[in-house]
Amino acid sequence: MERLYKKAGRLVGWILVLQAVLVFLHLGHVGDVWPPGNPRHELGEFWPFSIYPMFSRGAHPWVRSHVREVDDVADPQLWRVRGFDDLPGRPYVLNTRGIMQNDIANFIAKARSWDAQRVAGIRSVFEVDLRDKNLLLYRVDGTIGDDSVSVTFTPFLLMAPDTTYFNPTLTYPTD
Amino acid sequence: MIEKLLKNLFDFEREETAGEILIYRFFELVVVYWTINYAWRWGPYLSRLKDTVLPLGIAEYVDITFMFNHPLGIINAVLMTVLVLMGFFRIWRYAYLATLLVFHLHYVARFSQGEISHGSNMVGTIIFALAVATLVFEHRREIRRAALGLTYFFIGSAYTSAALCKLIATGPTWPHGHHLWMWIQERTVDQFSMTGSIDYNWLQQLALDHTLIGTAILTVGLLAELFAFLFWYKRTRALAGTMVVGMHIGIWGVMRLTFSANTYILLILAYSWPRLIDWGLERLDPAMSEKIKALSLRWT
Repeated sequence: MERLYKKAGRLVGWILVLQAVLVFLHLGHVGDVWPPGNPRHELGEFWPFSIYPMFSRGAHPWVRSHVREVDDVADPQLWRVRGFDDLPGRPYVLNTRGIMQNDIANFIAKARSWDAQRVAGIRSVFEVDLRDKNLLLYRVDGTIGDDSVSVTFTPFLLMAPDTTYFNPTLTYPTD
Repeated sequence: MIEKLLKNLFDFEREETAGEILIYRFFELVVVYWTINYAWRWGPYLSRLKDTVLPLGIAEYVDITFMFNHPLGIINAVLMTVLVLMGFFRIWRYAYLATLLVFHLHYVARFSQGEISHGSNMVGTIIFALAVATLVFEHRREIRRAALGLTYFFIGSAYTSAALCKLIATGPTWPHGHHLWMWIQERTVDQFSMTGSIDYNWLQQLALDHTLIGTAILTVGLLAELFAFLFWYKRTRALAGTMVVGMHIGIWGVMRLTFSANTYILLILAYSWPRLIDWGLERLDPAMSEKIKALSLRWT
């Protein structure tokens, strides 16, 4: 019996070492605290092992996305920053298309460059509807004030059937 | 202390009952179900992807975009399904290890878009536990105890690690009710994008109206995670499991995020279901009871 416990103890020890090596080699930062500046990613994740950093940054500003169907791509008012209540067009409902909200939001928040390949990547997700629809992709920013959360919708990409427009007032990240 | 911990996790010397074997096989079946579920939920979706936003795991070293070519996502889903069933039916000793490798490939391809999901981590670590227990231990009874012990260990360490991340990244002010406002609004934007409409449930409204209630909800959640290491010990396993399940129900209430696999697995492992089954078997007709016991010994 003692042999079994020794074996199990050694096994737990080796797993801990394996887990520590894998997650620390793939660790960016836990919040903004430590260790700073790993350019690869911020997760501490080598599936199935993880440090589980979800929701660890209280009050940290977030970035999400929202998609609208719009009619007139030439309307300069489309590029205005807006709030929940005055968005143009109609909501493009992701659930009915089987598109994952997390994927779109992260495309906007975490893509390090917006070259032709990246644009093709995001367009491919909406491929079927881009044959006959104009889709305006918003970057949604959330920040906390003294007693409320401010949510702003900034136009990010306007995808028309034959072309893609960038917001002329934004600077897009490049590698 | 370490001896006590190992005894609580593995408990090798205790006799194994029919109830324990039946619950273990049920637990294993649930893990098989979730593996197949992830395989087929993600497999067909991969062909819609074209680009990697943030590479994960093995995808940091190998260009994973080849997985986006139809029908590779489907083929990998078939592989996961066949391998995990081979593990369950004891057809091949290395089947769970092979399942873990193709599952990793499936995961890093699916979550190459910048977001990760922790829903599958528990299933993945259990497949890892089943794989190493099968390879390191000889007899079926020892393998079962080792796989369960490692699973208890992973569950306790994972949730406690999540709490420590919060305390490191934000500090003791993490449970402030204003932080919950932020996450509720973030999820509201997600709901708006997914369904086209905005609505707050009563619990969200309560947390938005009263900061103190938001703070109380987050404090209870943080404590549930922090003390999840108590899942390692037999005497506190049910308490720790109940607290973590309660936390998942709370997350569902305030953020509309479900962790179904985690919740079901915790419900199976936290409580003394084997004793309940053994108690029932003792009261059954002896012939029937023997039949069930014999059944429990098949495909163990």
